[in-house]
Amino acid sequence: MQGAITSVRTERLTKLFGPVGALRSVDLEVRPGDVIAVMGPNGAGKSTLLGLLSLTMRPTRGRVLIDDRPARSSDPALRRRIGLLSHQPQVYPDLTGRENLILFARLHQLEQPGRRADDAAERFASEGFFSDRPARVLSRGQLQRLALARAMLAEPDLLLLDEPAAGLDADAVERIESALSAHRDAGRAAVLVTHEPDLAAAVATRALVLSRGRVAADEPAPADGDGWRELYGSALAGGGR
Amino acid sequence: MSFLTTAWVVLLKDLRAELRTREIVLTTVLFAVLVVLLAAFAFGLGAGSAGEAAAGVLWIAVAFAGILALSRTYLREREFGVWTAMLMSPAPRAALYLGKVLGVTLFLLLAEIVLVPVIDLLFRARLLANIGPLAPILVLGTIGYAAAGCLFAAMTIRTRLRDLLLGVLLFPLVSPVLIFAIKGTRAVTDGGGMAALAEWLPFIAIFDAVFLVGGLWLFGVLMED
Repeated sequence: MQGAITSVRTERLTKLFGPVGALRSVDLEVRPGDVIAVMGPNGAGKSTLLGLLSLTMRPTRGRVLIDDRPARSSDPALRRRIGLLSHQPQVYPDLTGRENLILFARLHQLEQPGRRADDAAERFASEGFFSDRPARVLSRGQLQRLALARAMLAEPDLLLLDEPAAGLDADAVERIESALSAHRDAGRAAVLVTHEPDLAAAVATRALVLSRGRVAADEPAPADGDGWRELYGSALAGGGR
Repeated sequence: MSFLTTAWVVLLKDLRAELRTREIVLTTVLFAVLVVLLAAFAFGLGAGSAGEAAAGVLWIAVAFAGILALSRTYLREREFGVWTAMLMSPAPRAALYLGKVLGVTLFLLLAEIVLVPVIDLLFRARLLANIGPLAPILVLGTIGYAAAGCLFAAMTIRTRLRDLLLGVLLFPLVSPVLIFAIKGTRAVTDGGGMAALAEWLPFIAIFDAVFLVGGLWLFGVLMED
């Protein structure tokens, strides 16, 4: 695969864990410049959706199409274009923040990995305060900032963020908003799982509400936090599309 | 970044983490020395026949302690979920595997540097006197063990019974390498010298090649989901 991702589609995407249906027949399209905020109660299938879009999980039924071709994680060019922030920080606890970022910059074959690591650290923390300490000793919020820096290090075309604001202070949330806005304005796409209506209102272009593994709403993003709360409440009350 | 450069980056990462914690080499050495001590008491310290058991004791200690090294090295990949990020990077997955094999090989060779004199002393086994022909057997035997071990450790990393499964799956597969390494070590310490090395080393090398080529080929396929 060459060039930037121009479309990501899911067709009847379904994931079962034994008898439990985590995600059922979800159709979704993500285009460059989209920031889709995914909301829903616990167990609605939000993280499963990210797992499937990141190709780290294989669907039980249905498929993920990237640029109209079935996507497989065995394609390194595809992996280069997808960034994931999951519930875990996905960094090496015995390496410092900077060492982690340089390692991933090298694995992503970025030029000047040291400079890219410093830039990424600076984006999420003033003076890169997590840079010179082993990840194991960082606080939860610092780890989350480091994980965000790692996920966005290679400027992926498709950025998948699972509750990026969890455990973060107001300064860090502002930095996420700024980074995501820049990501969107550069014509790249993101799918953002969040329970924060204000964060969604600040950056999202579309709203997706999941309930019991199904799409309950897929609409243009409301303009403010109250609009998100209203949409969320009415979508859940309506039971699913 | 080339295939070999990626493997080198992974190796350096493992070495840096180990230099900071020393947990893999220390625990592996301690466990291996304990196995040797127990064997020494079982066979009778300094008894005339003890030397004959030395080769077996050496490789049994390496095999058991190797399970510990493999578990610990992949525990680092599992902690904080970082293995997923490694697999999501565009780096060739086979190169990630090769880097892990190099790291485990190095950790086990460091343990063997301690083990050999200890066994030599306790079993009067003439290991140090024959270190020239013994060294290639140690290196190739360890590479074969690490090549098979890293594949199975990566396969079982996300299973609940990983520690149990690793031993159960690995030992039957790697037993040809261990058997030939024991035979070769025994022949060398019996005074066979380079002739003994030439007799047994090719067998170990063949299994090394099979495990390495198989691992490089299978690793990407097994890690796809």
